[in-house]
Amino acid sequence: MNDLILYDKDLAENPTARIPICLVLDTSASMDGAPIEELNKGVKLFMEAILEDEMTRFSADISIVTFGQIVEEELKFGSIEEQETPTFYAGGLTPMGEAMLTSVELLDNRKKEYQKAGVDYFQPWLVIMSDGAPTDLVETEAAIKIVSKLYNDKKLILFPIGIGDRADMNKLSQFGRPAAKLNGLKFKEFFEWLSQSVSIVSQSSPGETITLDEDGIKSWVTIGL
Amino acid sequence: MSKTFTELFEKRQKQEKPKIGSLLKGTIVSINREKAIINVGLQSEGFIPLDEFKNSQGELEIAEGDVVEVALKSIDDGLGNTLLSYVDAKRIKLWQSLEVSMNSEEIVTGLVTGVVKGGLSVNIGVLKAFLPDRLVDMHSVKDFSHLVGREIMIVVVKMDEVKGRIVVSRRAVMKKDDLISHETLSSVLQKGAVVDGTVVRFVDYGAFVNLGTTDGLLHVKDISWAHIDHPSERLSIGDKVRVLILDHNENRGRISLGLKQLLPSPWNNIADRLPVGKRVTGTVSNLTDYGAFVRVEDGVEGLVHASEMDWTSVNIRPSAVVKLGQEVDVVVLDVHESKNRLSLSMRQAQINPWATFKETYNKGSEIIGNISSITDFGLFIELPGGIDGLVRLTNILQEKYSSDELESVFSIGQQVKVEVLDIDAEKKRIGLSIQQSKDIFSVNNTTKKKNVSDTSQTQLLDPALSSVINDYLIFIDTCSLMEDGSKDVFSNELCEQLVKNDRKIKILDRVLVELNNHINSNHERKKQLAANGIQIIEKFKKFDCVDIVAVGQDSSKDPIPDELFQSIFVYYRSKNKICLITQDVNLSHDVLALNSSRSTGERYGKKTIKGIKVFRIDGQNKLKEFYSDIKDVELKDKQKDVVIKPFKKGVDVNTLNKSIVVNSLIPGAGDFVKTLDGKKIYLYDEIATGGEGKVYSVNDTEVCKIYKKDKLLESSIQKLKLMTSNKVEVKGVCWPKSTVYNENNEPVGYLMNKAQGIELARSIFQPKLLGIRFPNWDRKSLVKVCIKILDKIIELHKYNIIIGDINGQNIMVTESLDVYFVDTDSFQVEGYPCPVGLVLFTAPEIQRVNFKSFLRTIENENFAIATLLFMILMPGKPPYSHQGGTTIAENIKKGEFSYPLHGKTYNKQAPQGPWRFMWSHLPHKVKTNFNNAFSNSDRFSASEWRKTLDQYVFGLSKEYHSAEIFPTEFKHVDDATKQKYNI
Repeated sequence: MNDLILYDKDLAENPTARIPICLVLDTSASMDGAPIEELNKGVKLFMEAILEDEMTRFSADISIVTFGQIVEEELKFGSIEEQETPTFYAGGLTPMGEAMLTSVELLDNRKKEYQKAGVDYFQPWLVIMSDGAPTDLVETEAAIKIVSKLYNDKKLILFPIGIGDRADMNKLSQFGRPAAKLNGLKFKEFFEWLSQSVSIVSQSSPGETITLDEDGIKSWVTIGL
Repeated sequence: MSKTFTELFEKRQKQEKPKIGSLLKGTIVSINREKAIINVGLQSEGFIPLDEFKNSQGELEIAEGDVVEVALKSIDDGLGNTLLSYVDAKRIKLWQSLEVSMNSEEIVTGLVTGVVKGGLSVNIGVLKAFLPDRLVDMHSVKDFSHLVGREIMIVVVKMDEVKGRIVVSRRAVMKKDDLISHETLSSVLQKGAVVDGTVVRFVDYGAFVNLGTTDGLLHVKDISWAHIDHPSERLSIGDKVRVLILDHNENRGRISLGLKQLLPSPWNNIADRLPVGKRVTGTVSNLTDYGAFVRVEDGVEGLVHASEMDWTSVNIRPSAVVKLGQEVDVVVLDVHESKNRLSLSMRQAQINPWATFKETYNKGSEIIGNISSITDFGLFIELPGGIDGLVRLTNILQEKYSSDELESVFSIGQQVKVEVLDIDAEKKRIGLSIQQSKDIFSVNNTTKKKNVSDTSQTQLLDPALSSVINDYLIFIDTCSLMEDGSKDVFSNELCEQLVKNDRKIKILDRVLVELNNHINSNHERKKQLAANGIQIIEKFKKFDCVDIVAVGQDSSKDPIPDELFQSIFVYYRSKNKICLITQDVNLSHDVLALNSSRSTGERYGKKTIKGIKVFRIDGQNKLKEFYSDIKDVELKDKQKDVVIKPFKKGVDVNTLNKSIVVNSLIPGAGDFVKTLDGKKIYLYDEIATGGEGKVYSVNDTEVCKIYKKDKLLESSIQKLKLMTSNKVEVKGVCWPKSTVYNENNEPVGYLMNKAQGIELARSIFQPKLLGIRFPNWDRKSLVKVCIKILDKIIELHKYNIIIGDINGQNIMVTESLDVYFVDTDSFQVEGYPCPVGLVLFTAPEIQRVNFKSFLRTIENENFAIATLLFMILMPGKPPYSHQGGTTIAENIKKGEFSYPLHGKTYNKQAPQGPWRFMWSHLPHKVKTNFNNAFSNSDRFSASEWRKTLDQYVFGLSKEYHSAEIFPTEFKHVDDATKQKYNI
């Protein structure tokens, strides 16, 4: 029974169906100042809300990928009880494509880990937030191809969000569905809605049709989702 | 070959050249006014400004000749000086030690210096660190500025040498050890805080007060001590008020406020104004099934229990005796200042036994009574009505005896004839005299009275009592007090023994109430027996060898003494040995059962119960012990008494009228609803909300579900009508009792019993939460929960009800293993289907079929039952999860159940983790049943499961199986068994 020594303790012992969520966040130079500050607050609030809710605490599986100077996996999948929310700093260009490719890979790997461990899971969520246009065009085109296919095959739940006036809403929408525009810098409201959505899902079971709170979306959006 | 001088020199240079920033040891060569010159063994000496060596008081910490550690800033600044730094050295050393602390998760101290973006800046010695907001405390608060200037305990979580960044966490310290946190978090809006606010809005049930960042609710009952109906009676919009935060539910964002709590309470010193026995007038303010609340003062309400309302009837309906608003006279029975509890009696206010005595007897009347106690100033005599009169020394045969002689001449219980001298009904004093010596009856020569039993004679103590008197707490039940011969058993001898050993008999106050009720019955015999009982208690009182145990007399539950005894015994049994004297066979059975049940926190084998014995008075007036295996016990089986009227078996699914019912008004918290017969029911707090509706508490035992807008269909109303037409009395199943209507007589929801506990999904199905919520449970507890669920399902199936949507969200469980079924309106009844279901619990043959379009069968149900049982015995793990699995629906359809069973080829795909171990510890029969259900669609019925699990429980008590919920090893199979199975 030696294979047991090398397994992921959390996947093995926590039987709850997982909701894998990947937040892909723009931390390019243009985010410096109020935007990155609000983003930080929003993400912290999100993590706290997830931890406080009994159902999401054990089911939400969160990974955070930032793109700015580099593409960095700031938070890994795994029990969030043991991890601390990172703080993000703005700087650099906008390698969105690379970030999206990375996140798809992370989600896919995580799915395989679930299957290996024998853990149930919901379809993954991918949230992409950006205030500009991608600077790595080749990678972005590749990412668009992959992500939109996953979305259309219903293998992925997608939330593309544009921030501010210089967000390339067109590009973001190409990932699979029309992007929503964040109302001002209402990151907190968005992440609050997101954590409530996760909560709704956590109380159901994989395979069930879930209706997210349509009214709640109004609290943070300007163009419809 | 000799090296050239240059080579040697360069070599030496290379060897000697230490890195910038490294630590070196140096000797202080000299100190002048501004600097200290230090020799670190390099080519040139270095200097360090003297300030670096001064402490916070400005004192110099070093002297010439001292050896110190310094950091090298530069080797030669061009002027022949080596730049050194002492401060840098300290920094470097601190950095190094913090790295060690970080790796060992050691707790260090830091000083909070200020608030920065995203957190706080903290000084650790000479280094600066960052404490993110999220890691400051266990719960989120908006503002940590109160921590500035304080020393806190932290652990270092991240150190970035390149960026020079140190991140610390205070939360990690709190997680480690709650005792460490000395600082109090003065969150402004915390429970117990006093804040100022402005009244912004009224509702029927209270006022909303703005507290700056948010609003709180001030309920009308918390505004003033005096009773008011609407907040406007005391407040106006815009008023500035100071309020107390009664509760802050952060999850719901609800703050409950109190205003009256900050005002002097009329309950202060209430015992001075309303002492026991005082008679006052009050107004009936509220009527309930169990009594009437009477307001005797502004803000002070007491309860007149139904049993205290009248002398005549036993089963009283308070509303038949008084009306709301009626003025009544009451007498104070009991006052509890700290609990704001006041017990009153109407009937005591009506009569005064001394007054009755006065009406019956007068000066000169002659009465025969027993001596109840002997004091040095006279004798107390028991008189009719349960009261005492006093024969003073001077009045005993014209003061024949001195006080010392009384004890030898008279004995307790001795009959005497007395003459009434005076009666003071107000002061409750009756003066008596014994005139002639023939009035004193000798102890042996007693006249037979109308009472059934003899007057108490000096008797030997019943041997049973002797055996328990010293070590056991002795409780006596009403029926034993009223038993023929009770006086012989509960004799003076007993009293004297008790006094000698400093022990007391315990009598529940409820027993006194029952005795008094019987005294007023029409049965002559009952009356006499009850009078006996009272006299026994009075005797105990005189000897001061009895404790009257008050047990929540004014609680709304008003349990009968049987349940009281049981709950009291559960309370006492771990610290005391208990003896109960009762004639009730059923009660004895239940109480003796407490002997063998496990107290919390135990492993099997070790009992911490001291011991419980039960006795009864037998035909020879002797105490005989009850044993638990009495075969002729008439078992209490309440379920058998219930007549089950099953619903018709559904054949075809109804074509449902799915038109949405549009109601003009959907009631919410604070509103009221009505039942068909017009009875008003107030909705109090919203206690749950789901996709379909909200649930509100209406009283201690019932709740109402009110459907949300557009969620109530015509067919739902029809289904409710069918459901409410039949009384489904399965304990723990929250069946719709009656439809409720809004004030416009539109149906809006239904009334049902309240459930207790927590959903399986938030307890058993989450191992970590299971460990927190029910830390004392073991495997037996889980199996018992399964059995309780099965029992309810079996009962429901007898009614031809199919649950349909069995899952972890609509079954609730308590720590004491009580189970409740909720969301019962979705059950399948006759032609009305269960319109919902979860994929996880849906049998393969009906996957992907619209639940509203067909009627489920018992076969379908059995799949859900098997899944549920699996997820309880293997906490939270869905049966079909396996390595290499895909979606739940796919897994179920493929039928690949991946746990090993002897005789079956194992696919080696059981999920990683403790699940295989757990599986191996299940009894063979249980594993077989699961395998049959999940691999072969050969599903057990609820009754068959029940039998198998009963055996499992038995096996657990015999230690055949592991009692742990999470065993960590495979079950050990012995060699003989292995051989048998060719393993």
